[in-house]
Amino acid sequence: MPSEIITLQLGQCGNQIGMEFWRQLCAEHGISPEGKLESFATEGSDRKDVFFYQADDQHYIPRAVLLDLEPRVIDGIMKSPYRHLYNPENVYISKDGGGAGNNWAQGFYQGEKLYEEIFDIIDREADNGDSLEGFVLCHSIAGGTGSGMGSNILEKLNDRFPKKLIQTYSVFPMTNEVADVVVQPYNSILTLRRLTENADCTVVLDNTALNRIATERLKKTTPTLAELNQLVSTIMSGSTSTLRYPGYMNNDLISLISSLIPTPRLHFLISAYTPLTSDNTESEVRKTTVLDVMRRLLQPKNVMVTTAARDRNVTHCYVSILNIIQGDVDPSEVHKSLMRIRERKLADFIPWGPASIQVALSKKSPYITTQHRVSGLMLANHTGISSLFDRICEHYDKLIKREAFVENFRRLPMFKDNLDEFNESREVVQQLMDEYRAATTKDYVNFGNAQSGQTEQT
Amino acid sequence: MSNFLKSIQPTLNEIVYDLTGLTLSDRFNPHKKLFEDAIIHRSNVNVEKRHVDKSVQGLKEKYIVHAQDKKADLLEFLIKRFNNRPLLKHSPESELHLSCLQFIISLARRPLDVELDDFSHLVHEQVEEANFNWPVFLLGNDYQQPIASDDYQDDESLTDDDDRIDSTSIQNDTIVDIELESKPIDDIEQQNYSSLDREILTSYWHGKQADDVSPALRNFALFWDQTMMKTTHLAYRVNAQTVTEYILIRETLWLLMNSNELHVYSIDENEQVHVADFVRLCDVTPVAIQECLQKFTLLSNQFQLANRFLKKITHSCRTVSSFAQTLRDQMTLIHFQLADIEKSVLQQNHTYTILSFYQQLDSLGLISKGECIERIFDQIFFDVEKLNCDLTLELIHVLYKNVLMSEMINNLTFFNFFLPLFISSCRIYLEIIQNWLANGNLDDPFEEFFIKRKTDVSVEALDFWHQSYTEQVENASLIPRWLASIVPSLIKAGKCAEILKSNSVLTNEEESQSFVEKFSQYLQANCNLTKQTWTPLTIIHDSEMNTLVKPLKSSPLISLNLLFDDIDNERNSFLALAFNQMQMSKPTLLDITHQQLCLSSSINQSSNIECILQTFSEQILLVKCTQLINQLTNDILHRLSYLKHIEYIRNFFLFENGSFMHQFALRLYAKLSQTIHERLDAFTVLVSFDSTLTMFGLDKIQYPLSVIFQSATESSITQKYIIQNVQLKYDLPKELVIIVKPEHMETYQKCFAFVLQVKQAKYVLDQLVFSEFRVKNRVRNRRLYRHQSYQLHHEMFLLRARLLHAVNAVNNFVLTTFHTAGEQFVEKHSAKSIDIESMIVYHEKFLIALAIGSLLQPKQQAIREQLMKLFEIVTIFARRWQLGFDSIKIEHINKLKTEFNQTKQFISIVLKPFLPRMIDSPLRALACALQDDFYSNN
Repeated sequence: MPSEIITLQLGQCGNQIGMEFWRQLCAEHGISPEGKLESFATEGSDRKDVFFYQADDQHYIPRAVLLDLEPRVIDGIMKSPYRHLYNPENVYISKDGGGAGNNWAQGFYQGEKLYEEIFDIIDREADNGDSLEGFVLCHSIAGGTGSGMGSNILEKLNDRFPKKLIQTYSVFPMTNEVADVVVQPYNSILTLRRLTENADCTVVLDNTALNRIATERLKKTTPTLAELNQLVSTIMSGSTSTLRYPGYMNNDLISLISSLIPTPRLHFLISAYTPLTSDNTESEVRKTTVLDVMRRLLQPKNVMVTTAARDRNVTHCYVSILNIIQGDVDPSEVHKSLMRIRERKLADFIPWGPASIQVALSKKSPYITTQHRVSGLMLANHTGISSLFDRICEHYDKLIKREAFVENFRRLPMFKDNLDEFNESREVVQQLMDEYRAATTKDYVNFGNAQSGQTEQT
Repeated sequence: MSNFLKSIQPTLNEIVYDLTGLTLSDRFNPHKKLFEDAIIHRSNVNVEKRHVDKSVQGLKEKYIVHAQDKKADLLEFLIKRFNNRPLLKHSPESELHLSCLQFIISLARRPLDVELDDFSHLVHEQVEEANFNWPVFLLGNDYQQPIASDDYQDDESLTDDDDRIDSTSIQNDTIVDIELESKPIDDIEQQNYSSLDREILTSYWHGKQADDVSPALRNFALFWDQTMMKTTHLAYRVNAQTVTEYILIRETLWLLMNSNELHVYSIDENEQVHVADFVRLCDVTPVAIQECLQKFTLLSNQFQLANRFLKKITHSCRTVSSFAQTLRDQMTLIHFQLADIEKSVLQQNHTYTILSFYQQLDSLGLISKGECIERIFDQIFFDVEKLNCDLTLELIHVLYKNVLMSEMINNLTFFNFFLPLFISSCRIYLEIIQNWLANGNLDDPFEEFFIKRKTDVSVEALDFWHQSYTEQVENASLIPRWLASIVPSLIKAGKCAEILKSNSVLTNEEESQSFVEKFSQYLQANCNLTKQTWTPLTIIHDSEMNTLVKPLKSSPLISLNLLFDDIDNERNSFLALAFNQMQMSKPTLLDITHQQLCLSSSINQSSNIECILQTFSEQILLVKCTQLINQLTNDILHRLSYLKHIEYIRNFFLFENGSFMHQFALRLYAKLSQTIHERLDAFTVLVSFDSTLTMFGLDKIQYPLSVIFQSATESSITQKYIIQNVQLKYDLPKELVIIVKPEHMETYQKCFAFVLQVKQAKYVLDQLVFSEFRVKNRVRNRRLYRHQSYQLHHEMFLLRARLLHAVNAVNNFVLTTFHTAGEQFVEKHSAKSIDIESMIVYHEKFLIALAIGSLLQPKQQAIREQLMKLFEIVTIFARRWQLGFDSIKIEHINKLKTEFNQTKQFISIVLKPFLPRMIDSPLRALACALQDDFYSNN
């Protein structure tokens, strides 16, 4: 039915957070792990059809495509209670099962090779709906499958569905400690380029910040992967809640995103969620009001991306903010809270354009009891995201200087002849960072001019 | 008092002598004293001229009724003469003057001053002959004295009757006596009373002065027994009304004449005249005479008032009729009591003790009842000109006041007399109310109720709620407080009943008890009142409809034979007569009366009548009202599922339900963006709607919503790009028109049109994604930013952002306002105390909020116009974007930018006054949201 969204889960990370996401969605819509509507799920006001469709036997089936190059994670899913939930046709595991070996190039190449098979699934899924709104891609940018194959699929999606929205939930690797994967900076840069050029909107999920939040907020000394994924799924379900619980204002993905993104490249969004709880800890938050929630959302410690407030003499600021407030909210509270935020100057905004905090009110799932009256999710466009890219570039530059570990890349057709792809990608990312920095100043209005002037000089 | 007496003594003397023609030297002391006392007594009573006139009129008519026209004329003559006395004209004691008038009336009621002049001598002679003894035939052990009916000239029924009374043992002198009498009467009739020679009268009194009172009075008695008793029809047409007067006059005469014996004659159905009774009097003293005389005359006058009223009621008003009926019942009761008293005071063989009569009279509270009657008629002026509702209210008010008063002074007789009258007067109101609430129909053919139904406002009318019923009273303070306190609820409930009726859901359940029954029960339970039986409203109604006053006929009082315990006893023949044809058995009735008196002595003082009535109105009437109001509320909320409809309206007209309307609107917008230079047409609109229905799997026929496309008559170029002429049609149950009126639907329609435009603006901007910049041609993409035209693109992006910001602000403002209003509206309806009136108010408030939200208010027109302009800019901008960036020139962008800046500036200026306000208003939110630097600028 209307405004369907197809979720693509790529690689280990993508499938894991996707799994959590569906678990969460099923709970919110009262759908059992088998896809049956629970007997208590009698409230008909939600729109399950955005993310689910009904099979012949009325089972709800997620509009999800599970892709991986190695079977481990998907096998895990298929052994879980949710194994009957997915459409088996939509689960695709590479037949050789070797994985991408944390190599972007391998992933990209595999994607290229499996193009027909993968897009058979995607096309079928796209034709399944009346008015497909877009795609949601879950992946990490550090590994091989999520980043490489994800990049490939992004490009291909662009070709095939030029008018459809592409939103990604991209997990960024830890940058403050030794990386699990040595070529992580390469993978990141290469993927970032595709995200910049081929996605409409990227929700950045910074593993560093997720860990920090899990440690600080949830009081976990060593947060497990599952707990981190739960955080991600909270973000994902929260950001889609206005689509699933039709309210009076925002009813489609595009209306949420459009005001957040002023120019094509500035589409990397940071997110925050409050109040965060986990099953076995008591929440520190006792009282939630709209103002409380909005205030907390603006606190850096709640933001799921670790950004620097200042770098290179640049004061970062918000380009735009979207707050999705869930729960029992009096709309008049919203305005009051915004006034208070203004008085307290809690948020700095870009000097060159209209400052806007969009507030979307959304219902809560009636089937999930929470301790809190109000919860909130922030999606924001913040120029500080460039500091994250900066760190990635830093690691990348160190590696590429020495041309370390590039052999694995050279083995694949894309890098056989030269490493131009690396340089081009680095350049695109650099331009992206430049544009973010430029957006912090008033001169951004003349950004195009300055840019062209610069290029003429070089 | 003694000082006062002394001060008025000379005047008093003058008046008395002037009236009676006696001089100071006359030693007619008892009478003088009597007059004086009466004057003094009356002077303490507040006498108004109107009442005196009324009494005079009443007296006159009484005479006429008793076929004593001459006396009536004489009375008038006397009054006129009295009024013309120069002595009294300028007297400071004008009240006294009137009191004297009043007195003269009571005086004239006795025949003392009348008709004596011409035949007094004859009588005198005869009296002398008879040596002041009673005529033989009157003394009677040996008498068998029928009265020749041919003496009586006035009554035709008797004149025609040839069947003479055959007792031949009439003594000669008696016959002569009678003849002598009859002649003067005829003479008097022919005489002009104005030329009544007062001297004769005076000389008569003079002649008698030495003989004390008795001889003359005996003569009068003789005269009266022979003329009046015979000639009045009292003796043979005993009925409820005349018997009282008969008794009263008789008692008065007895006392006045200082007689020892009295003969009562009656004429049976065969027109046979025979002695009905013979009574011997005892314990007659001057004091008794005086006191009793006063009481009796007063009482007679009071009863007269009531009887006159009962005879004369021509009001086509049920309340007054009901009142009259109860009054009549009370009067009947009094008659019974009088008769009963008479029976009980007739001790041994025909011996009558006046004092005991008087005592009995007093003990039964008849005197008080007389006062009650006087009070009522003193305070109410039954004016034919008066509106029924005013009259009715006044009646109830006066009765209520008196009930309260009697309770306050703790006068049980008063209380027991007034209460039934009060109840009976209220009952019509209660029945009207009951009928109204039960049938939704204010049945008030005589317009006696203080709430009126405006007939020209039908239930379906738009202003039904505000216009249909009006309180039409000259003086609203007359409405008794216990009723007045629930009048608003009552009107509300009445309207509810009518609406329910028109919705045909009024459950016309037969109430187990009517309000009237409950009302009387309530009072009975609390005041130990005997059970009142009520003629149902319909009967009164019908009888009123047929002939206005036939109360006696409809009243079953005279239809049954009396089972009189002593009916065969000769001595009770008169009583038998009196009780004959009465409905209730006498013992029962009297028992009730006594019981009533006994019981009421233990009246429950802890709860006063006001409380009781208040409780009644709260517990019975108000409960019923609330019940009805709740019934309508339930009907609207549940059967008509009002909130469900409002929810639909909110969902459709206000776009609150995202899915359906969103999809429908998207289809329209999509169509619009396809055909750049075309407008919407009816076909597109219908197809879009149908396909939306299909998409949601909804049945077109069953869906309450449909869509209409109104082809625009005038094509305005300025609004070329703006969606219009699409109308929604929602089938609202017509019963809900009481709340949601057609003009309200128009408001909804306007809101819809506005939201459609706002959404369109948002839609077209949202659609401007950067698909151009993530094109498959990555080479081109790479070069994009280096291209010279990027500056132009960047301008477009930024303008897009600014437009989006503005449109989002407007979109948020409109939808949040709608949503907030809607939520508040629904929240208010979840309150338990919700009723139809508040529903109407809430809905109106809701609409006002909507009007603000969709900028429909006159003051907002400037903003609205600018917003339209904004939307137009948006549309043009989107067109340019979609036509491709290559064709865009910097001038275009600059032009749009300038226009946008102007528009936004204008809106900001208009909205500026809202900014500093501390009150949160939607417009303030809009003003804030439109500010570019809102979060950084304090």
